[in-house]
Formats: sequence, structure tokens, C-alpha cells
Amino acid sequence: MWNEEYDVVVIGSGFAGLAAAIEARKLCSSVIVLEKMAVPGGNSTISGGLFAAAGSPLQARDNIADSPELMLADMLAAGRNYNHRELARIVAERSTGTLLWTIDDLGVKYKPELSHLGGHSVPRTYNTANTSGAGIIRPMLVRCREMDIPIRLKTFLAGLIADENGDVEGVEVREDYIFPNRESGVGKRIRAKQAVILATGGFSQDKEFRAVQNPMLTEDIECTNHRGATAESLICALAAGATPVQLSMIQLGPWASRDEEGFGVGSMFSMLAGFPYGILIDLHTGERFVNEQADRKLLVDAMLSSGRESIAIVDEMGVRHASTLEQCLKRGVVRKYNSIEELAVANQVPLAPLQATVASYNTLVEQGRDDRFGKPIPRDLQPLTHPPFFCIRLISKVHHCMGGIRINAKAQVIRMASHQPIGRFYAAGEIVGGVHGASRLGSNAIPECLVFGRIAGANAASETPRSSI
Amino acid sequence: METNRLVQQLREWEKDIFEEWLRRMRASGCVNSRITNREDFSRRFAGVMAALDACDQEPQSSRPAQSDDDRQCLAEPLIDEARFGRERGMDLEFFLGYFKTLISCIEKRLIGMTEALPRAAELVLKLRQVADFTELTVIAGWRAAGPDRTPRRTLNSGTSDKLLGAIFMSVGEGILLVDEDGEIVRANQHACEIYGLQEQNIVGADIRSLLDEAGAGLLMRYCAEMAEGQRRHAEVTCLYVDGKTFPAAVTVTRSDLDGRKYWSLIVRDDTQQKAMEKQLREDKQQVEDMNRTLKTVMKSIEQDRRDFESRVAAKIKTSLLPGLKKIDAAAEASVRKSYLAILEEQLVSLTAGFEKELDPGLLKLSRTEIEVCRLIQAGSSGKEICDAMKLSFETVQTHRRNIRRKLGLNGEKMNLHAFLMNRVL
Ligand SMILES: Cc1cc2nc3c(=O)[nH]c(=O)nc-3n(C[C@H](O)[C@H](O)[C@H](O)COP(=O)(O)OP(=O)(O)OC[C@H]3O[C@@H](n4cnc5c(N)ncnc54)[C@H](O)[C@@H]3O)c2cc1C
Repeated sequence: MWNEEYDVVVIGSGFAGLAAAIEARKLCSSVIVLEKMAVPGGNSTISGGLFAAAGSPLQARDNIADSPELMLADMLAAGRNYNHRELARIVAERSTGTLLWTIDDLGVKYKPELSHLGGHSVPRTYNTANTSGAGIIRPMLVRCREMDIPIRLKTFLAGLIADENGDVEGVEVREDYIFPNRESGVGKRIRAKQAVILATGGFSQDKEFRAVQNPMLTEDIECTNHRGATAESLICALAAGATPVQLSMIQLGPWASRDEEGFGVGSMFSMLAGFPYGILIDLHTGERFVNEQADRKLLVDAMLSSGRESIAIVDEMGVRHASTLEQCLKRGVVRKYNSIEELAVANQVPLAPLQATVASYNTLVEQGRDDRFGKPIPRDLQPLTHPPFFCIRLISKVHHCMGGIRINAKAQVIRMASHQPIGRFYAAGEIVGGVHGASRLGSNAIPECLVFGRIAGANAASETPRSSI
Repeated sequence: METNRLVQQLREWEKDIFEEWLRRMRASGCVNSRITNREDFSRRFAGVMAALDACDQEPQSSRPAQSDDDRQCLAEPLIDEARFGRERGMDLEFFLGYFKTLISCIEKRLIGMTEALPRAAELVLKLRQVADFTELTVIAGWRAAGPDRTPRRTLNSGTSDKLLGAIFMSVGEGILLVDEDGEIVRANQHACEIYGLQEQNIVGADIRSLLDEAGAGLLMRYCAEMAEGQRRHAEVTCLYVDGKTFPAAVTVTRSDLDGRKYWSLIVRDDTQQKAMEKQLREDKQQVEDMNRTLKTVMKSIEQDRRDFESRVAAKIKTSLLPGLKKIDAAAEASVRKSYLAILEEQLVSLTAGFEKELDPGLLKLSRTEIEVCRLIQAGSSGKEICDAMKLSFETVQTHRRNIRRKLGLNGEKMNLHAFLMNRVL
């Protein structure tokens, strides 16, 4: 009946899955991670590696007053209070502890400066030294190897198997699976003596499923995610009785480049330099139209309305914060101009309004006045006066699924019919819904995935083991 | 099995291999009766077999063909085939798919021949060399003819040449395209899998980050020294995403495009091949060891035989002859019988290889003492012996003492039961 048996079976090899596996393995003797793709890491390894933490050492160094309460307030504000507050609070409260775990325990390296991302009240975002989530995923994979946690690639979750009490007892998989061919691979049943942890991420790449949830997200809208971010594992969980939460809340990233595929190198340019230190203008009018540091939902809504085409402009001072600048220039994603005039001609922006926009923005910054769009003007913000100017052409791309399945504070999956946990079934990461409500703040997914991944791992490995067969 | 026998065997399996190949081509949706017919397959299969035969006739057959000329020679029939295919409208992607699948089917057969392992493994290595070379030449040839048909485009413009794309994605080896900064600008699916990295991670990375220090140094040197169109081969140690190292074979080619230098790296994870080579070396070593052991064994058998003969002679003198005399002197029939039994068993044991020791002392024992010994040997307690022989405890003790004396055990720590265990009574 079963082909294999482990104490804990984890599905998905991103932040959530690996964190769960590492914690679980401390408490039990056999953990396996199943991953459908041919390489590990999912969205996590291609992510920007931005990590929000409230009350961190760098904040202390820079005298930035922050607290989990403030972070929670930011999350609720961006999430339009759709957040499952208890879960959001846990993420805010444990953000710094988890950041320190990555530093002290995993040896992750971060840059020595914080970033201030849109929608956060204060700078609280750490950047991995290599500007990528791989900076965290790699040490986690090394740790898994050291802890004897196999990561079985090309193994596709096809279904969850319940025992006679309705508790989850194992999974049905297809081994030697070749994405995206559903018929490929060989069927197998793997039993979990203690529990199964679902950490399969979001479904931003699932054009069919996302259009069902939000018909505005048509097929032609690009996506920042890895190809494997599809919905079938979510469907498995729902079939097993899990509660769906806010599945239509799907975030678009406002910062992605029109001149490359996916997240690329341009997104980080906009996030770290273009938006905080530059301006966002509409090509057709040459004018600003939104607070560049707003949360993503506000930004995207503004960018998509009335046929706008947006570019972000930053000068030589601001561009220093862009860690991917060199690659952006090399790939033609960001272009460099010696003057605003040159920039206007090359991008076909009406020159006079653009000059006026820059001038009035500069006065605003110099005089520290309130922006009419509500952009926070921190004291160290510089006017755009130092050529050369750098410009990125933007287009919104599907980026993150706030919705997913419901869990409780212990990361147990909640059964829709009873509001009670489904036995021996945990979930963490982007597959979980509710933490971020209507809009996730940048750099909040990494803490979320790691915090709940670790909770799920520790709790799963504390379940009373079933007897072997 | 000899190499030519193996190749012969493969030829006999052609039909099976064809079917397997067709099945796999079908699975990847590449069936087209005009191009995947049996006839063409047979010719190409024969080409591969011919190349393998040619390998065997090389004087240093266990070493890879050293110069490009040698390899050229091996791969010639296949390269002709590629030309032929191309003239009939096969595209490069398709030809490589066709060819890789063919090679892989043959390889699978060879690996399956466990009984002929060392030879089969050697042949697999050769097969791969032939395949590598053919591929490289075919790709280069195809590309050379490219520009008239495909418009030139720059590589760093995000979307790149469709042709290059086809090569990149279809080849079953890892391919990395590296620019002058040492930055990886393209990587195919297989390269991603070899390193455990997503394309987004590998593109933009420094090529050196995928290698250990020595490998990185070697490769950088090769790249720097290499002229346009030149090709070099290196064996290096690479790093998987989880920090594990693995051996890899890298073939580097420099090709200049739009006035910029690019290096294409064909990378093959050699873990399996290295394991096979190791197995091969171990097998050889084992055979040598066995030869050596066998010689020693023969020598010592000879020695043993001599020892044995002289021991038998000595035993006859010291134990059997006195025994015979004793029998001769013994008055009572039952005593004679007992001595005879001892003698008989000792004679048997002489030829049975001395598992049990002959003990001349045993012949000194009286009938009653032998009886007591038998009971002791059988593990009987003192009381059981008294009961069985209807003797008093003291008498049995006296017998025991005498037995010990006659067997020369006085003052020894040796327990009588233990002493008797290995003796024939
Ligand atoms: C380009 C990009 C940049 C980002 N940058 C940041 C950032 O800087 N900071 C931040 O906080 N957040 C960022 N995010 C968001 C964040 O990276 C993700 O939310 C997070 O990585 C999700 O982690 P996860 O472990 O839940 O899922 P993933 O990392 O996506 O892992 C899930 C894994 O499960 C596998 N899987 C799915 N279905 C199955 C199945 N049926 N069977 C077997 N395996 C399956 C997938 O292949 C995948 O490998 C970014 C996201 C993207 C796409």
C-alpha cells in the first residue's frame, strides 16, 4: 500500500518548506522534501532577498524606532484590514528573531544598509549580500544536506491521503515528473508517520486558475514567478477539506521592467532606487500621479488606470542604492541619459511638463514640504539634480498570491467544514492565505515564510508518531 | 567480453534499440514518418557502430582520442548524416534530439550489460566522446551556415537569436554562454539542472561561482588563451547549489559575435562516468590482487603438502605404532576394541584434514578412564558419571586425576572437558 515512510513529509523546497524541514529534523529522525521541479528553491531562490524585520540590529544602529506593533499596523493598513490579524501579528513579532536565526544559525550574509520599501513606516528591510533570495536558500540547502534531509526533485504532489479518521496519513506523488507534463512520472505513495507539511507556494503562473479568481488577470499579463508557481497543490489541499481564504487577492508588482521577462534585474532597481529616491511619471503627460512609496496595490491601481505608461527616473545620487544597476545597464533594462532633455527625447515624454515635474519635486524635497500624493520625504532624500539620469520603463506583472488556505497559529490547516484542524496536516508560506490581506508589503513574504515554516516544522515533528507498517 | 563482441551484440539489438528510440521520440512528440523512418535510423545506427569499431582499432584504445583529427575520423559518418538530414529540412534542434536519443538508448543497453561491465563501461565512455564531438561539429557547422538565413541580432538585447535558443535548449548536455566579463549570459535547461539553479539565478552569475578555485583558474586561463573558433577540454570540479562538489567535463569553444567575445561551455556532470572509471580501475586492481593472491596460495599449498606428509609420517611413528603395540599386548577383548576404535578414528582423522587433534596421550588411558573421558566429553556432571558407571564419587575423582596425569594436564589450568572437546575418543 505504501512505498516509503518518513516521520515528516514536506512538499515544496522554498523558504517555507526548507525552514519546516530543518526545524522538524531537529526533533525527529527522518524528513524528506518533495519538489516537482528539476531544481530546488521555487520563487524563494529567485526572489530579491529583501527581509523586513521590526526592531533589528541595523535599526538600532541607525536609531530607527520600530516595533512589531508598528510593523503590524503597516501590514494591516496595506492589507486593508483583510489580514488574519493573529497570523500577521506572529510574523511581525518573530521577524527579528527569525532574521537573527538566518544570520547566526544559517550564516546568511546581509548588506550593512537598510532599505525603505513602499508602505513601510520606517526603513526596516535587510538585503541579502547577493541581492537575491538564493543568498538564504543556498545556506538552507547546505544545512539540509548536513542534516541528512533528502530533497527529492521532479516529484510532484498529486494528492493527499487521509486515514480512516480523516487525518492526513501520506501523499500520492509522481516521481521522475517532468514539468509541466501531468502524465509524466511514476505514481508512488509516501507515508508520513507524524505529519505532512504543505509549502508549495503561490499560483501566480497559473493563468487559468488566477483568471478564475480574478478575471482581470488575463493571460497576456506577465508574471514575475518561477514557472512552477501553479495551483494544483492548492487544489489538492482544498480537496482534502482545507478552507480557502481570499483566493482572488493576487498582487501585481508595479516595479517590473517592460524590457525583460519576469522579475529580472529591473524590479530591484525600481524598488531600491527608482521609487524611494526617484519619481514615477506617466509617459503621456510627463507628470507624477502617485506616491512612489505607496504599497503595491495603490501603485498598480494608479499605474493601470486611464491607459498610463510609466517610467521611473532617478539621478546619480539615488542610483547608488540600486544594487543591480550594472546588470540593468548591461541588459538594456535601465538606460542612462546625460540630461533630462535627452531622457525626454529618447522616451518620447513631453519635455516641458517633465521639466516642470522635476522642478516642483525638487522644491518639495529641498523645502521638506508635504507631497500632495503623500510620498514621505525623509530628511536624507535628495532632489533630482545630479546627472546622469537613469530611467526604467515599467509594466505591472502578476507577483504574489495573498490568498491561499487557512491555518491557525500553530500552522495547522483548518478544515472548512468543521473549523477544526485537519489532523497531521500543516501548511506555511505563500500557499497560506490571510497573513497579508489585500496587499502584501514588499519584503514581508520572507519573514512570513520562514516564521510559519519553522512553526510548522516544529509542530509537525512533535506529533505522536503512528506505528510503522 | 571483447569490445568488438560488444559492438556486435549491440548490432544484434538494433531492432530493440530502434523501438525504444521510437518510443522515446514519440514521448517527446518528435515523430514524423518522413524523418524518423527505420531506414535512416539504420544508417545512423550503423554510423555510431562504425565509430565504436574504429575506436577499438586505435592502438591506445583505452585512452580517449587525443587530437581533433582522431575524433574527426570517428565522427565522420555521423557528421555526414547530419549534413544529409539538414539537406532534407531537419532543423538542428531536431537532429540533436534525434541523435541524443539514439546515443542515450545505446548507452542504456551498454550499462545494462552488467556481466561485461568493465568493457561496456569503456565503450560508454567512447560512445560519449563520439557523441560530444559529433554534436560540437554539427552545431558549429549548422551555425556557420546560419547568418545567410537568420538575421543578425545582438545577444544582450534580452531576446536573442532563435537559432542559438534552439541549440541551447535542446542539447542534453549543459551549455553555458559566457561573455567577456565572465558573466553567464545564457544557460540551457540542462545546465540549470546540473547546478541546481534556476535560469534566473544562473544567468548573470559569474562563471567562477560554479567551479572550485582550481577549476575556475584553469577555465579562465583557457578562455584567455583561446583563439576564435578554438576548442579545449578540461576536467574540473563544480559546485552544486547545496555546496556539494562534483566532477565535470567541460568543453570550451570561443566564438565571436558582433565584435564581442563569447565562450560556450559544454558541461557534463561526470559523477557517473567517474564512478564507472573508478569501478573500472577497481576491477583491474581486483584482478591483479587476485592473481597475486592466487600465486601465494599455490605456493603455500605446495608448502602445506610437504608439511602434511612429514606430519603424517611423524604421527604414524608416535601415535599409531605404539597403539598397535598396545593392542597386541592387551589381554581383554573389550580393551582391544576400545583401542581399535581410537586407532580407527585417528586413521580417519589423519586423512580428514586434522580438524580434531590426535593426542598420543589418549592411548595411555585405561578402558575405564576412556569411558570416563567419553562421559566428560559428552558434558556429564560428576554425579551423572558416578550414576552411569556405578562408581563412587571418590573413584571417579581418582580416575579424573589419573586421566589428567596421563594427558599431561597436571598443573595446567586447562579444564578436562575443554581439553577433550576437540579430541577423538
Ligand atoms: C521574483 C520574486 C521576487 C521576490 N522578492 C521578494 C523579496 O525580496 N522579499 C520578500 O519578502 N518576498 C519576495 N517575494 C515573495 C517570496 O519570494 C515568495 O512569497 C516566497 O518565496 C514563497 O516561498 P514558499 O516557500 O511559500 O514558496 P516557493 O519558494 O515558491 O516554493 C514552493 C515550491 O513548491 C513546489 N511545488 C509547487 N507545487 C508542487 C507540487 N504539486 N508538488 C511538488 N512541489 C510543488 C514549487 O515548485 C516550489 O519550488 C518575491 C517573489 C518573486 C516571485
